[in-house]
Amino acid sequence: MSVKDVKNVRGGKPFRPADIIVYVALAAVIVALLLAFVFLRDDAEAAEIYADCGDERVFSYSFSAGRLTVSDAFADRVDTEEEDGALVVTFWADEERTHYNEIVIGDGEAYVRDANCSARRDCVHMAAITDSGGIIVCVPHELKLYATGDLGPSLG
Amino acid sequence: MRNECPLALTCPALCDILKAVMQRRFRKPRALVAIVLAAAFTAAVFLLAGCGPEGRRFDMYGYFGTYSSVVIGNYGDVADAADEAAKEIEAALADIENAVSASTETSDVYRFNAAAPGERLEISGTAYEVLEAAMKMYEETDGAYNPAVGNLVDLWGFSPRFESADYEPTEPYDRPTQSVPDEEYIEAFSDPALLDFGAVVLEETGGKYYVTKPDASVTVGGKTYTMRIDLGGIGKGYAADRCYDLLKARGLTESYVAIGTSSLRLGRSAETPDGAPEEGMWRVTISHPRGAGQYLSVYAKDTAASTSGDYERYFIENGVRYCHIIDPFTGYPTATGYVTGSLFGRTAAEGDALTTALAVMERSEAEAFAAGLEGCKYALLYYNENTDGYELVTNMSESEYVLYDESITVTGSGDVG
Repeated sequence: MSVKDVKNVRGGKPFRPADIIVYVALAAVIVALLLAFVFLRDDAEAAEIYADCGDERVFSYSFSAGRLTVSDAFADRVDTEEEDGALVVTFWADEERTHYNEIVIGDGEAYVRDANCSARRDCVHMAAITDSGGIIVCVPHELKLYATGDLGPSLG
Repeated sequence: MRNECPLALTCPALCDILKAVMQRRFRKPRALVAIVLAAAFTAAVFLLAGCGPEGRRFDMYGYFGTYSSVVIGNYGDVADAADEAAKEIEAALADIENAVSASTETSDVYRFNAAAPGERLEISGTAYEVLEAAMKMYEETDGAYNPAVGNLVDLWGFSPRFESADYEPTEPYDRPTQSVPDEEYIEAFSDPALLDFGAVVLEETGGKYYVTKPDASVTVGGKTYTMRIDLGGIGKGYAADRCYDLLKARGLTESYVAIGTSSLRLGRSAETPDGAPEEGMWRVTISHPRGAGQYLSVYAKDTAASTSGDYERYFIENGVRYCHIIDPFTGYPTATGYVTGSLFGRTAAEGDALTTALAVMERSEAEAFAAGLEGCKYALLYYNENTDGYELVTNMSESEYVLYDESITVTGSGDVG
């Protein structure tokens, strides 16, 4: 770039009042895109697992934070313990604490390890929810476990 | 020639702004357009990003002694249609259960099983359709899929009666828990006449439907038994097909219907999962038959899917696994090395029958049969006693599935017939 060119650039007025508005607007769009990408995308690492009973949230678990959040309404019906690096969550389907689902969460997946919901125990046999999607349903206990990922179906 | 902006046709306003920025000759009206456009763009970004799982409708239903789930994508845009479809699906599932349930005393199947040999019964249109589909599959599989194994299923302890929480022994052959039954009953219930599903007569006359029970019976342990049918498997597939048709009729094709863990009807996914070879595919995960979690996932869309395996309902006696799939040619649970098999294609009802038939066939026969199923993709997992290992036989290409268990060896051509 020659000295003359540099002088021309310096001599110009790139920031006319109307232009500033445009630049600010474009900057806002870029920032919005960045925020959406960082916070709202369906990222496996940002995935959470939700457990609902009927229409009520029982608990959620964040894979990225490794954090379990139990709803106040179900605080007396959820027990937790650590086992070989995994989190074992026991959900009691009734107030008397006789019917349960034992959910194992860890290593990027969650599955129902044990339950006394029925003789067939479909929920125990369903494929694990991974940190990118999946569903496990226990109809007798009205328990629904699902991830924020692709929510794809499972067979088997 | 005039230098046209490439966006002149598709987005003239943006084109004007770009030109103005380049030429640095902005005036207030254009600035206003820029602000409006930026605001709209920002809103669109947030709206699109918000179409995550919260934008799906997820319903579950309890029928057939298991669960059913229906997922509808982009719920915000189709809420009214989805609400109406949900009501129709609930009614359809109740109708199908009332037709095929083996334990509901008013169901068509229950009445058939309780009927005398040679008796002609009027049945519902739903029962007729399921029986018709069952007959077609019985013929196509040369009897490997045979719904007339109802007596054997009950004998081996895999009927709803035996599996219910309040089970009490009532039949002479009943045991307190699942175990190998008396040989005389296995032999009696394997009588070819009792298993001749082809002898069932279906009629449609004047808008009414009839079934005639074959004139066959056996007497064992001082009691006489007639043909009993079990439509549990194919009934779930039929339910998946019919529920999906209800969704499709309302344009809700970004959806799927799952009946239990065996039968699926897939539309398209509003959000394509990572790794899928095509837009709109779902990732279908398949349970590990010998451990926790999944062993395989398959990418698929606009198709049906079914699975049968030896690992959900079974018992082990003297080190031998006895599963719920009964071989109609031997009267015993299947023992072909077939661990689990999934089929993608045709209808879910047909898939249910076909995966059951594949479990019954010897491995070489099953592989040849599966390869001959036009337009179908399959994944059959076998246990090989000689190598003490598991082998996956599939015609899918590597981009269509993900295998999570590295100890499983894979064979297959990657060619879908």
